[in-house]
Amino acid sequence: MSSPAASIDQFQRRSGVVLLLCSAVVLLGLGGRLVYINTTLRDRLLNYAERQQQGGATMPARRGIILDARGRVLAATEQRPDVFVDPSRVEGDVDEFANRLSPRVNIPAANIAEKIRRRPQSRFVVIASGVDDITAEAVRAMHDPAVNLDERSVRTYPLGESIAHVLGWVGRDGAGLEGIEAAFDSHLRGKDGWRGTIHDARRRALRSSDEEMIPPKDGGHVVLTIDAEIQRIAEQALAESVNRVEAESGIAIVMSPQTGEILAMACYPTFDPNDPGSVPTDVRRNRAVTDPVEPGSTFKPFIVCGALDGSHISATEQFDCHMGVRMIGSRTIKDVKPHGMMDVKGIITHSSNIGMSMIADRMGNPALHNTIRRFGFGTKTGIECPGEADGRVYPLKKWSKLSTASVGMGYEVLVSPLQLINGFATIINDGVMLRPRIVKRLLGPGGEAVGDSESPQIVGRVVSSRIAHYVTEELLVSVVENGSGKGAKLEHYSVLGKTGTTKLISRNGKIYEPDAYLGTFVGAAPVERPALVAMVMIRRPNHRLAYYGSAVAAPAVGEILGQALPYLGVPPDKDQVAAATP
Amino acid sequence: MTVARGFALSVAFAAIALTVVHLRAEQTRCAARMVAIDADWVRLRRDLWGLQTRIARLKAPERIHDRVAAFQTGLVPPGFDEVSRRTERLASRKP
Repeated sequence: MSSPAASIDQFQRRSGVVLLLCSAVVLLGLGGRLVYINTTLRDRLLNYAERQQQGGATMPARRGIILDARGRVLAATEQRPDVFVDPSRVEGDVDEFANRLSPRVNIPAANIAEKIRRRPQSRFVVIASGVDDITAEAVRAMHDPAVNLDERSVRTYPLGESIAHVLGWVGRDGAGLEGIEAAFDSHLRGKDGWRGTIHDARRRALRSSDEEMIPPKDGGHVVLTIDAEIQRIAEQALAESVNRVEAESGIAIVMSPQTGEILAMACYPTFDPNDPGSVPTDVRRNRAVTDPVEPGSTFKPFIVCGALDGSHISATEQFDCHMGVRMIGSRTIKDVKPHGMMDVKGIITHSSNIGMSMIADRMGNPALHNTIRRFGFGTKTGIECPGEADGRVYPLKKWSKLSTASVGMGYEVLVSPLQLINGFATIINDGVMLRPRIVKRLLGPGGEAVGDSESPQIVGRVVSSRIAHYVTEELLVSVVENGSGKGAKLEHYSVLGKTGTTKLISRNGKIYEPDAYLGTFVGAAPVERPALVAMVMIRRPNHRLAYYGSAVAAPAVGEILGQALPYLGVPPDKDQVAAATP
Repeated sequence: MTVARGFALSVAFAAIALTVVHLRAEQTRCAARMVAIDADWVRLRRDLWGLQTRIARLKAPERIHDRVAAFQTGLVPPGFDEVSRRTERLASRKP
């Protein structure tokens, strides 16, 4: 029998062994678990930790600004929030919630409730898009977890409907869809940046993740040749003219003949590029460059230039205008008023169709065709606006026996309004054609110049300086002083110009529609050195009120020149006023 | 090792540990501040864009003309008084 001391000693030794074994098992288990975590579970746990600790925020890049020639902002980007609701967090009755939200977002409660009920499973129901600061603050003040704000970039057009057709608009994704926005999308578009952050357990940002810092790249800016003030003048005069004669639509373009810069380009009716979806697509088209028309009598000066330049006629030569009626085969050509013998000045002043048919006969088809092509008709001008039309000049082999007279009167050719005014600008600019420009320069994100687009781009000489001077200072002045362009006369400036009235082709393109007209006037001032050339086209006026270009378009051109010239600081050139100028 | 040396070593270790903890805390504070500054920069850019748009709206020619008409101060937008001034000058010179 062993002593009690020996028993205790043995017990202690056994206990020690058991404890050691237990510890070894536990340590082995822990070691095994550690290996398991570091091998099998490693990727899953790392992902879980990353999701928990790492976050980030988009650093929005700014789409470039579009400015007018004097630095006025025409299109800009600002951050505006969308108001959205998480239906799963709406406590209580949806109608009661909608009633609380309604006055803050200025949307009827019934509409809000309907949106929420339509998508009850969604966590993101947009109630209002691009709200202003006051609305955003009112929504924040609700302190309701069900309603939140989501910041996003919104393209804004501060001048509203002004210059809408030139500027175009952007889609919801910020990409340019029309106008300058589309044509210069790659220059204007920026690239969003990203800032990665490390969070603490409460998702508070602790520090930036250095390897995940991508700074935003802002887009470049575009400076237009448009002057917003001249644009306003043109839009106002155009709208008044269209409404006065109850016309379907109208176009106005103002241009500098010495530089080829477009100072205003307006279509009426217009639309708000902040909400382009509110009008039909037809209204949003920039018809000044996209829609070719038969120019009618406004085409006559180009034919006369070609006839004089090619020595087919002389300035003093008399033409028999058949007292207002001339038969060519089975076709009868008429003048508005009967005239007998007239020289080229009389033919242009009174816009004689018969006189022009005689001049066209004298030129012959090849010279006629060559003249039209030299003035750039049938070819894009190269302006920066998208969707520019070529117009249409039929090849000589397609001309019929009647084409000679028709083309001489401005029919059987299609020209865009821009081509027409650019042709006039060419005659006014001593016969030298410039490429019309609507973009003055491109700027980088910091305002630095990108490329060189400042200087006028010369296309070439179209007609001799002597002929160009004669046509402008003798023929086109006479139209305003003694002929159909009297409506454009100004008190303080001498004006030159040409009227045109064209029948419109029916929508099936086969016949001329009865009582459907296009009234046009192209004018420039002051005569000695025109600073501006302006054109107004009024489409489908109420023929019972007026439809001649002299009545529907000439006064609008006078209005535009009369306001725009003093705005540009062009001194009056009429004797009594010029004498008073120091 | 004497008790005094042991104590001094302990104090030194404690001081180093406290310094390391302080530096780490300061580093975290600075990093958090940088994150806040980045966020402020984004917010200020947003505010700047908003203000530029507001100014652009105020400078819209249509609005300027409306304000000139509404305030009835007798002022005329730049450029629009040129012809009338010259005509007046002419009238004043006539005998």
